[in-house]
Amino acid sequence: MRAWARNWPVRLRAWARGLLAVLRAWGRDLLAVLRAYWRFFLTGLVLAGLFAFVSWGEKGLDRFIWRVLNFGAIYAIAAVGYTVINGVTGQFSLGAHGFMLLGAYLTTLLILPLHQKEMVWILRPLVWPFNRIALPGSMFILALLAGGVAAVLAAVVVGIPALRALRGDYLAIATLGFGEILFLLVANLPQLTNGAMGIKGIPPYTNLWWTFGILVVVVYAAVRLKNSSFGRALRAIREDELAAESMGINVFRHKLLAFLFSAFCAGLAGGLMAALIGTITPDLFRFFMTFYLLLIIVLGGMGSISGAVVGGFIFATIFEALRFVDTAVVPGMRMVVFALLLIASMLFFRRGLFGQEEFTWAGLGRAGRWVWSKIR
Amino acid sequence: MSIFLQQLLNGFTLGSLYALIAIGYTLVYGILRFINFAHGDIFMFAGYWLFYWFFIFQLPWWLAALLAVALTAGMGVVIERVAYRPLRHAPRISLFITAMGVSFLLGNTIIVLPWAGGRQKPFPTPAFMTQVYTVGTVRIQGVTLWVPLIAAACLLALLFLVYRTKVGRAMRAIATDIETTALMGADINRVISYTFLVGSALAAVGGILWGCRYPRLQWDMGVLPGLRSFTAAVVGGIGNIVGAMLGGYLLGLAEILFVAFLPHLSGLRDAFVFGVLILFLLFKPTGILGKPLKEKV
Repeated sequence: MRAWARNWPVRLRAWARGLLAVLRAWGRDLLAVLRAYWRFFLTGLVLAGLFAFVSWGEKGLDRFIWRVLNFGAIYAIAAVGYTVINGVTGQFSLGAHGFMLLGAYLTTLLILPLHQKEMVWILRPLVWPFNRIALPGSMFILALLAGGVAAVLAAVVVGIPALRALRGDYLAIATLGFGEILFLLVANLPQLTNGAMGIKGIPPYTNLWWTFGILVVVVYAAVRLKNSSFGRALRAIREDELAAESMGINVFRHKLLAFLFSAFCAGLAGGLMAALIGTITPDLFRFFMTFYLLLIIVLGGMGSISGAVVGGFIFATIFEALRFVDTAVVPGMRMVVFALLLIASMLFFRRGLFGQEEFTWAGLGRAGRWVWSKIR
Repeated sequence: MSIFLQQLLNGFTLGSLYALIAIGYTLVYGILRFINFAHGDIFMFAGYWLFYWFFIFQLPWWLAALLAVALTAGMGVVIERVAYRPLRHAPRISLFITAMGVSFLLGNTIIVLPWAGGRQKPFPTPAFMTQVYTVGTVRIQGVTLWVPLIAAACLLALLFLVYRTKVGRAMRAIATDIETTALMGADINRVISYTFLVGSALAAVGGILWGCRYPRLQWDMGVLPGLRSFTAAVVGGIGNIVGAMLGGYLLGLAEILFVAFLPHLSGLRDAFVFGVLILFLLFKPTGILGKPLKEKV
């Protein structure tokens, strides 16, 4: 008998032991990978869940909830941009409604079908080139991006002088004035915007794919921005502009870029909102829109991107939940509630939900452990 | 020529109204260094108080007007006490945000109030305002005569208050240096309450006169006059009382002349005012009469 055949139990045991060792090493590696990257796995899981939810919700969701979710995501997109300039950089801008207005109108002008354009601009024909352009739904993203770019261009016009010279409430008033000028221009250019009568029949291209997709991209960009050296510079500017400048930060350039980012987000949100509502007038994007955004980021915590997202959805929910108050009880009561909410949160809850912090998985774990310890 | 004179007079009337409202912005800014965003809505409330006392409770006009001024002034004090005082040591931008909240609260309160609501309401204009006086060949409506006169009387009274009384001295002292003034034994809170009282009372007078001039009431009628008056305060040099008056008159004149000479652009009248505001903020933030503020490091 050969030796290997005689010793087969021993050899088998050795093989098994080797196999186990390999498997154990793999497991250890896998655990190590999990331990190092579990946040990414969880985030990926959430994103996959979101994907599944959107692909189900686009058909399966109740239309009312579908609408609220779309509005929530749109408010969140605008609020994320708004919190980058107002919260992270600490430069108080009140012109967001003007940028949303531009985004909404340019997007509408690009996607409105030609026959609808002939019906809307009765008194005076629409100016070239918009009377020839009607982008199909597959190019919706182009129209949205154009709206964002228009908002950015306007932001360059106001931002270069204003951010160089002004800060605090003066900057706020100057940007507010600029937003109102944009409104007055849009309301007084009927051959381009149909004036105060507004535009009807905008094709409803906005859906959960667009709103949530753009929200994810915007949040990703904002988080990367905030956690980069650029974002640290922005926070340094918020804490102490003079100190930041003496550390070699180009204060004006950083402020301007943050401002442009916020304008871009507002432009996107405006375009999405126009294609969700279907009818726009200049009055839709008055100062109260900026007030909404301000309420969102104050509730969420000034300077927190997570807060802006959560705040956007909370706001959209409250907004719809209070609709019955407006229709059944007293019209206008909703805004009273919002104003009281803003005052109360400034007086008693100035930190907001998140303060200046962000949502992290580790933070969630800490919170969970804390809650568990209280329950036990 | 007579049209030009008429326009000048119109501008002067409008300007005196702006001056009355601008005082409130400039007083508060001088002392607390924040823009009282709700001031325009306080101005609006005065008209509605008058509306209530005159139409709903059927009081005589003069009594209704007095009550309206008193109540509006009281509102200013209460708002400061409830919403602004707790934030005095908070970052200034928190104060500004709260003021925005108060502004929206006041405006929308009108919408939900019974008898007021979101629709336009008539303003009770008294007889002496609509009467037409004839002096020689010139015919003057009561409004164009009384509005600038009453406004000027109020402004003179304010100048007396600020420059010739003890409270006025305390206000000026606080505007210069709030901590040192407190150390000197002045009751800061009381003086600030007085400031809001005076500013809101002047806004109330402005609101009633505005109603006589443009006899319509609407819940958001305070927003644009408020912003324009703030512009006037900036033009004159914010924090400076004489400057606010000067800015008010200048802005009123400029606005009327803009509309008179460029009638096809009258829809952009407010864009013109905001343009003035932005240009002044950018190139001459201290205004015509203001002193440059030293940045403390």
